[in-house]
Amino acid sequence: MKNKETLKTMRPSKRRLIQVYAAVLYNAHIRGFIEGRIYTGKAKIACVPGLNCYSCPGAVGSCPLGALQNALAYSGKTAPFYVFGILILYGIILGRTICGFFCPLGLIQELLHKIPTPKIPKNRITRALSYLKYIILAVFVCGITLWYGLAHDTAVPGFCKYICPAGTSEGAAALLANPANAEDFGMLGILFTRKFIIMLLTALFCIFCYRAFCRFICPLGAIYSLFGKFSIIGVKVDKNRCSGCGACVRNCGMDVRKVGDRECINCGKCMEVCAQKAISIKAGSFTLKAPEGGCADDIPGAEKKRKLFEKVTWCIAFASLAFALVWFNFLDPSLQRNEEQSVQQAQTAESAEIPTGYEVGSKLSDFETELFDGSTFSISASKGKPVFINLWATYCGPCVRELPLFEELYREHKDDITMVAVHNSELDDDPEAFAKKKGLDLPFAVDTEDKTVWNAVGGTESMPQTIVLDRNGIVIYNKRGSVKKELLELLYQEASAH
Amino acid sequence: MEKSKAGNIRDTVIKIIQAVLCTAYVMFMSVQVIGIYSSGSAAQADDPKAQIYTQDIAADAVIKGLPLLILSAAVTITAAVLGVRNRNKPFNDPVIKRDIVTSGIKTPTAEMLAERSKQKRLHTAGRICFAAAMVPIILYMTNASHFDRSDTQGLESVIGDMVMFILPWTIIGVGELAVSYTLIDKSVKKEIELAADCERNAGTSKTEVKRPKAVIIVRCAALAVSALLIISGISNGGANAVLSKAITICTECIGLG
Repeated sequence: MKNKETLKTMRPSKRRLIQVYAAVLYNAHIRGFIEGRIYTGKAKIACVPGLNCYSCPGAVGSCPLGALQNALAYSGKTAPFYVFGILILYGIILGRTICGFFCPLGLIQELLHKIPTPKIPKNRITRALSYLKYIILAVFVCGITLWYGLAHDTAVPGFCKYICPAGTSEGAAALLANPANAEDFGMLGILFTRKFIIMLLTALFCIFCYRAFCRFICPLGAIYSLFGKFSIIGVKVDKNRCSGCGACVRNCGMDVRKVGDRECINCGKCMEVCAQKAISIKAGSFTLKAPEGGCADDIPGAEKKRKLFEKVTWCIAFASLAFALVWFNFLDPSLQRNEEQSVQQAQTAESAEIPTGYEVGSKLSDFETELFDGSTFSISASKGKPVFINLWATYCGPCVRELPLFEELYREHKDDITMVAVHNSELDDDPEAFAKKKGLDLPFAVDTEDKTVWNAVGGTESMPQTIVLDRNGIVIYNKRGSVKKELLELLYQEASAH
Repeated sequence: MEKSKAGNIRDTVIKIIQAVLCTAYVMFMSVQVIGIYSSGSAAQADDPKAQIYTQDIAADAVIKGLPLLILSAAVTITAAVLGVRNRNKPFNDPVIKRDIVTSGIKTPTAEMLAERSKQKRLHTAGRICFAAAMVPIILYMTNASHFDRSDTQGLESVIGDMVMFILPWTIIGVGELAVSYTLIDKSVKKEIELAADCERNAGTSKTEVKRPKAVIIVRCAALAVSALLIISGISNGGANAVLSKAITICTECIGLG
C-alpha cells in the first residue's frame, strides 16, 4: 500500500512530460550527439521558445536569446524586426508558461532541485534578487552587444559569452564529450575555465534554491515576464471562488506576490493547494487544465470538451515528435550535404599516391579560389612560400578580432608569405566592404556554395580556423579557435624553416 | 502521514550529507579546472603551440571527481528508497495574512490607515532607491569611452572593469529593495496586530470580474505587431541572418574560446 503511494507520488506529472517532450523536440537531431556535429538545416531559421543553445549538437531550432544578441549586434545594418517579432509572439501567446513548460533549462533546474538537500526557501532577499535578471538583460544582452555591434562592427554576445550555462553544458560539453571533436580541446582557455565554473556554481545553486537561474539570472525569463499580465495562456484565478487564503502564493516556489504576476511561470502547482479550486490554466476563455469539481466545471460539458482537446493535442504532439525525429535524423537535405562533404574529404585524403589531407603532416589538396581583387589563389601556385589560410566570417566575433594579427604578420613578411582569409559561404554581410571598413588589406576570398575551401582544409561549423603549410605544402598546423600573435610568429618561423 | 522524530533526524542527516557532497564536488571540479588552466597557461607562455586543455587532462579531472559524483548519486538513490522528500517550507508572507485579517473589517482605524500609507511610501521609496542605484550603471553603459577597446585582450579588461563597477551598484540596489521589503513586512505585522480589535462585517460580497477590454486590445495589438515585425524581418533578411549564425558554431558563445 505504502509502496503504491510512493510510486504514485514518483509518477511524472503531465507538466514534466511536456517539459521532457519540449527538450526532445528542440534537440531532435539525435545523430548530432553521435557524430559530434551540429544541425545545419533550414529549420534553424525558427527560434524555439525556451532557452536551448543552438550550438548544441541536437538543436534543430535557434535560441531566441542568442538570436536576439546577434540581431542587436547587427542592428546598424539590419533592423532586428524578425527576432523582436518572434519574442513578442511567444510572449503574448505563452508568456512565462514557456519557463514552466517549454524550457529545457527549466527542466534541468527542477531535476537538480529534486536532489535531497536542505533548501533555501523564498524570502525577501530572493524577491529582491528577482530584479537582477533585468539588470543582466540590460547590461549583458543589450548594452555590451549594442556597443560592440554599432561602434566596433563586431559581435560580442555578452550573455552567451560570459554567463550562459546552457551554452557551456548543451553546447561546449556536448561537443567536447564526442571523441570526434578531440581537437577542439586546443581552443580551451580562460573563457572555458570561467564559464565551466559559472556552470558548476549555477547547478549547485539550483540544487539548494528552486529554479535559481530562472528566478535571478535568466534574461529570457525577464523578457517574457513583461507579458505576464497579457499572455493568452496562463494561470487564472476565479475571483468568485477565491477566499483570499493565500495558500497559492505561500506554497509557490517562485517569488510571486499573486498568481499570474511577472514571476509566475504558470506551472499550475497552486491548483493542487487551492482548497476553493479557484485556479485553472486557461487559453483566453478556454480552460486547458482545472482541478476536478473546480471553476471550469461550472460550465456544462466543459470537462468533456477539455479531455477531448487534451487527447487530440497529445496525438498531434506525438505525431510531430515522430516526424521531427525521422526528418532531422534521416531525411533533411542538410544531412545529405554533410555526408557528401565527409565523403569528399575522405576521398581527398585517400585517392592520391602521396598522402594528402588536411591533418598535420599531410599534403593539402590543391584548390583555387578567387580573391576580392580579381586574382586567383591556389595552393599549387604558392609552393616555396609558407601558406597561411584563415577561415572566418563577418558575424564571428573572435574571427574579426584576430584578423588584425594576420594582417600584421602579412605586412611583416609580405615577400615571403602567402596568405588568404576565406569567408564562409554563408553571407550575411558584404565581406569586401566589411574588410575595407576595418582597414584590412589581406588577400580575401569567399568560399563557393559547394564549400571548396572548407572541404579541402577540413573546415567545420566552428570558426575561426587557421591552417599553416610549410614551403613544401605540408600542413604543419590546422586548428580551430583564436590564435595569439606569438603563435602566429612561431608558426611562420616553423613553416619557413622547412 | 507524519514522520517520527527519528525519521526526521535521519532525513536531515541524509540531506546534510548530500549538501556537503554536492558542494564538495563543485569545489573539487572548480579547483581542478583552475589548476589545469594555471599550469596550462604557464606551459603556453613558454611554448605558444602548447595546449592548455587536452582530452587526456580533461578526462583525468573527470575521473578524479567521479567517486564524489557516484557517492552523491548513491545518497540520492538511498534517499529515494527511504522516502526522503524535499518539503518546500511555505513562505508566510505577512501581506497575505494582513489581506485575510483585514478583508472583513468595516472601518479601519486611523492607526491602521497610517500603517497602510506607510507601507505604500516604503514601497515607493524602495523602488526609487533601486532606480537611483541603477543610474550610475546607466551612465556607465552609455559612456562610449568605456567600450573603446575591441581587441581580444582589451575586451577582457573592458568587461572586467564593467563588472567591477556594476557589481557594487547592483548589490546596493538589490539590498535597498530587500530593506524596503523588510520594513514593509514590519509595518504589515503591526497592522495585523491593530486589526485584531476591529469590528468585522458578516461577509463580503463578490461580483463577477470581467476581463478588462484593455487586455484584449493589448493582446490583439501585440499579435498584429509581432506578425508585422516577423514579415518585415523576413523581407529585410533578418530571418536569414538568424539562420546563418545558427548553423555555424560561435566558439566564444559556448565558452570554447
